[in-house]
Amino acid sequence: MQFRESHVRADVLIIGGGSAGAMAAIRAKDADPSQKVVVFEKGHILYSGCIARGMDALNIVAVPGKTTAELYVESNGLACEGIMDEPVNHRMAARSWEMMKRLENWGVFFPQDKDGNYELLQVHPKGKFCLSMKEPELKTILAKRLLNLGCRVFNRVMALELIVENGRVAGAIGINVRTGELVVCHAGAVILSSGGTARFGLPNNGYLYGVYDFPGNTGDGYAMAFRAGAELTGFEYTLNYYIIKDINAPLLYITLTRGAHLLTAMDGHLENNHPSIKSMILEHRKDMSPLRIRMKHLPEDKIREIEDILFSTERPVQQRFFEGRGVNFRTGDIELWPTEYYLCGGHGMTGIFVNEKAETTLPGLYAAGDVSLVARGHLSGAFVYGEIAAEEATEYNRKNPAPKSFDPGRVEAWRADLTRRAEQTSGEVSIEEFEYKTRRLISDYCTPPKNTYKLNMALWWMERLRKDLREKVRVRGVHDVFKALEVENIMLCARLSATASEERKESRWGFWHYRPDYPKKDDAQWLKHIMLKKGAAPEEIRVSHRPIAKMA
Amino acid sequence: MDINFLTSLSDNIRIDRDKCTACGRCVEVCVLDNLRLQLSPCRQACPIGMNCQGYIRQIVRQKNEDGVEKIREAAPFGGILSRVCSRPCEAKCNRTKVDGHPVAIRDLKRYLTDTAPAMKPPDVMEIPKKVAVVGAGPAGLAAAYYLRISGFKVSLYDKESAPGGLLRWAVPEFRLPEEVLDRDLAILPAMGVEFHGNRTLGKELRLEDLEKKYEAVILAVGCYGRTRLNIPGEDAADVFPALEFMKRVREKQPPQIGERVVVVGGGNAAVDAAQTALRLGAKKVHLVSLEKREEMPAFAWSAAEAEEEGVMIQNGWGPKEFRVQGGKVKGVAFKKCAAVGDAEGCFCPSYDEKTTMDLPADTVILAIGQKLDNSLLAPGVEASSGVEFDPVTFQTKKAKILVAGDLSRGPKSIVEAMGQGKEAALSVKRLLTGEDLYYERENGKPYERQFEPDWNRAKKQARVPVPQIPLSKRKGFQEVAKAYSKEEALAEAERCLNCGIPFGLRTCWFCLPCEIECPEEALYVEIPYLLR
Repeated sequence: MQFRESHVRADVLIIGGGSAGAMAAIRAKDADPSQKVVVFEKGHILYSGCIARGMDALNIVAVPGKTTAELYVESNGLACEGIMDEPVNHRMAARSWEMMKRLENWGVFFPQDKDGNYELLQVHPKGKFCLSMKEPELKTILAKRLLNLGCRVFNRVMALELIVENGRVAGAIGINVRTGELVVCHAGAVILSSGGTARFGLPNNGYLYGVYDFPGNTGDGYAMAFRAGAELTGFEYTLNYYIIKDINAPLLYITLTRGAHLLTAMDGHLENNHPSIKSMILEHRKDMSPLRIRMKHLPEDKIREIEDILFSTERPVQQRFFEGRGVNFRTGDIELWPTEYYLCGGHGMTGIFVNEKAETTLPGLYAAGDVSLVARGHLSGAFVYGEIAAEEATEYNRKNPAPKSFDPGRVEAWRADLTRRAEQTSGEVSIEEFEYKTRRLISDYCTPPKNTYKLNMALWWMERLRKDLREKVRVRGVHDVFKALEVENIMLCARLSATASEERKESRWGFWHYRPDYPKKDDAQWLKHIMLKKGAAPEEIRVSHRPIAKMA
Repeated sequence: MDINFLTSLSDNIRIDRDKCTACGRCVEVCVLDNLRLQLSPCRQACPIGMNCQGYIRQIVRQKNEDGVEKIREAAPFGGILSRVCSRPCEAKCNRTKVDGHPVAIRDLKRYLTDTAPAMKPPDVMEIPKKVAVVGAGPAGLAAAYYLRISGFKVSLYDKESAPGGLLRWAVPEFRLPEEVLDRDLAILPAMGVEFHGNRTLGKELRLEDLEKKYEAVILAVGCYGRTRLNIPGEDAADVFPALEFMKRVREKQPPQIGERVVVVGGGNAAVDAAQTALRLGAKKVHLVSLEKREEMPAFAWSAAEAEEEGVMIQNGWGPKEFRVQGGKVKGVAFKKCAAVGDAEGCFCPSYDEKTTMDLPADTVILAIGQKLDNSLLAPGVEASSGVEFDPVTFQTKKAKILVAGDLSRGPKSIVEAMGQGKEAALSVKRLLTGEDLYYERENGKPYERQFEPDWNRAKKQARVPVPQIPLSKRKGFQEVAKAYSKEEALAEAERCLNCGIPFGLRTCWFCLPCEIECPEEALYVEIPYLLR
């Protein structure tokens, strides 16, 4: 393995070709058809990211005449318990309708009733923002569009490090996860859209990849941004979901909004209490588990409608799961259970800090989707901010084209490091076993209920595991190298999370940041963002606070 | 594979082996890099990347159109290859371990291509750059096709009046009929490749001029240097070098041959010449080779066919002199060859001068091998004992001049030449579109190469002999081998074990693109057992 390098130039480099990245690529080419747009995609662009088979809805669309961006800001602010920057969320909601119309123009199907009204459901404390979408081919539509527009996609390339020259980001170094070749992209602007950390805690189904969010997301973007000096936030928001037990597939919004009942194990009804994921988890912890979804009372056409969506879009594999368990919605219940813990800007509030121009705190670096913080922005946030990031990145590149010179030192350093890793051929521990242990320890120590002791143990363990990764783990071939790099990013995310969690000395967001050593919510002290940034020393994490941004 | 934490789990990817053609589409689109493809030994051996396993499966499923597609994906010259390919695939076929005979991969290819409609020129996105290919043999033809597919303007030059190289001017028609050759080659002018015949490199064509006129030049002029014996009588009137002899036959101006023909040599050219001599009216044809029978470079099946027709093969003799009288050859004196190679395997025959043999002859054909003819190449292209070239990109020391085919490494097979032409064309494409020439070319393909096939799939079916025209009918130059009938092809295709299939690395997220993209509906994603 020589880790041979090749170089490529771009105007805009997009790292991560999932939901946000694909929209960004399209937008970048629309903004300037002559510019070179390169995408680094760790998997394969056609189906990568969280929307391999589409999604059942755009969770946030402010439909003119029905809802407003202001209402969304108010509603989401409640859901975030106040830790939410208003301008960045307002802009997303304000652009959500035109984004949705654009998708529709490209062939994405949004069901309408006979009067031409879209189907809107309420999933937020106030307002019906959730607009139903029924398009399993969502990702392929976007992928084919960006390819036809002339974007150059490097499939199987995982980004390793951002190139920073003279205080601005100027590209990235990536590795082909099959051949081990290094790809060095020199770019005027970079958009990070590599998702959150889905492989964080361990799912209780026991399967390393049986997680809720897309398992290819291992916090690579968080790690790269952090190491380049950008500010990150929300890492104390360790979240899990409450969805179908074992398979970790979603169905709550689709069923509850159509009249399904939510029962405790003791048959208590909860559907009328405006259940949310947060509240269901609290019920689960009150020993009322498992909660169940029951639909047998629903009319046949409603059940068919639900089946049609669940079995065609987003996680259609559910159908064979239910068949295998002998569950028919007309006769049986669906068990719910907490998923593993993960970090995510779309479902949660973890991410690279961005403003309403998708700018990070590093010049030349933009971020969109789950890797960035647009609190609970879901797919709408990814799409809107993918577009905004592309527009801004195009402008930045125009004014500040990539520097001509390049210091080959970092590539050399990577080559030396990768070579060293590849020499660990006789390690006794397989990388999969190592990942299992790392994530089990993350589950033990980084997740609620949190306390100072546990959070310090998390840091202790990550330090120890860092050594094991170099000394005990077996690396044979490029595939193992790539898995080792992923686990390294997961470990950094664990350190970031433990650090932020320890800093926030209060409890907030239901069980997600519950700490019995500081059991109450404390708005007086903690209604603020906890920011993390690389320090001067190699492994140092600097903590600071930032006020919540309000609308001007 | 190491046992690791994950491999002890059950694999949730289910493949229907009766339907899977190992096309690899699932592996390509898997977002989590969870899938690998077991590459069957036949495919590992093929220099042109043909999915022979796949087209054989499509024969079994009677999806001939898709089988033809698979052939054409790898090379547009199915008619040619199905007649004269050296079949490295069959040499590695796992079926041989079952009943001693490989699957007739080459003849099953013929079954599909013989009845397929002519290839339609694919759509091409034009790139306004000009590339020259010099030499219209297998390497040059493949290069020209793949360059044209990439969108370039292609000019194909050759020293003869029509394209084909050895395929037209040396391979006899009873192996590769001219109409089959022409049918395959028709795709090139149909796509706009310009052919310029009667242009010889070093004469009408100079490399310096080509370098100026074209953005890149692929040299595929083959290996036409004549090896000389340097023994008395070599230049007599009735002593013919094999390539000259075969070319005159194809030009419909065969030399006048006598009744007693001696062919010197042990390779395919020798065998072809021997069988040609019989068809031209020779009464006795001897083929005398330095090598022992099992060492002869000629295809074993061709040598056997020649013997069937009456050629007498003598092994272990080297020519000493040609007995000439009145300017005409009368016989050939041979000395016993003790060994052909030295300890390192280099060609270095040693003789027992005392043991001799004499064969009367009125015609002698010399088929003793070709040499690289360096005089063709201009200075600047390294040409002392061979052309130096990059083994991955096929570039010479000048980045815009590439080589392909026998010119690069000496005489090899037709399919290897085509494979090199294809690679050289890819290099040119990347060079002229500003892409890296090496990226993803050397290693890291998602293949598993060492694996056991499912031996239980071996159906009890004896190898179906390839039909041939009977000996009594082999007077003229009509093709000896015939195509399998549908029944024969189906029976023979059923012998294939369908060795290689995709499998999972237990990092599946059951998102389903692999299942959706499978063109044969051969893949099913089971919920992993831990979650089920």
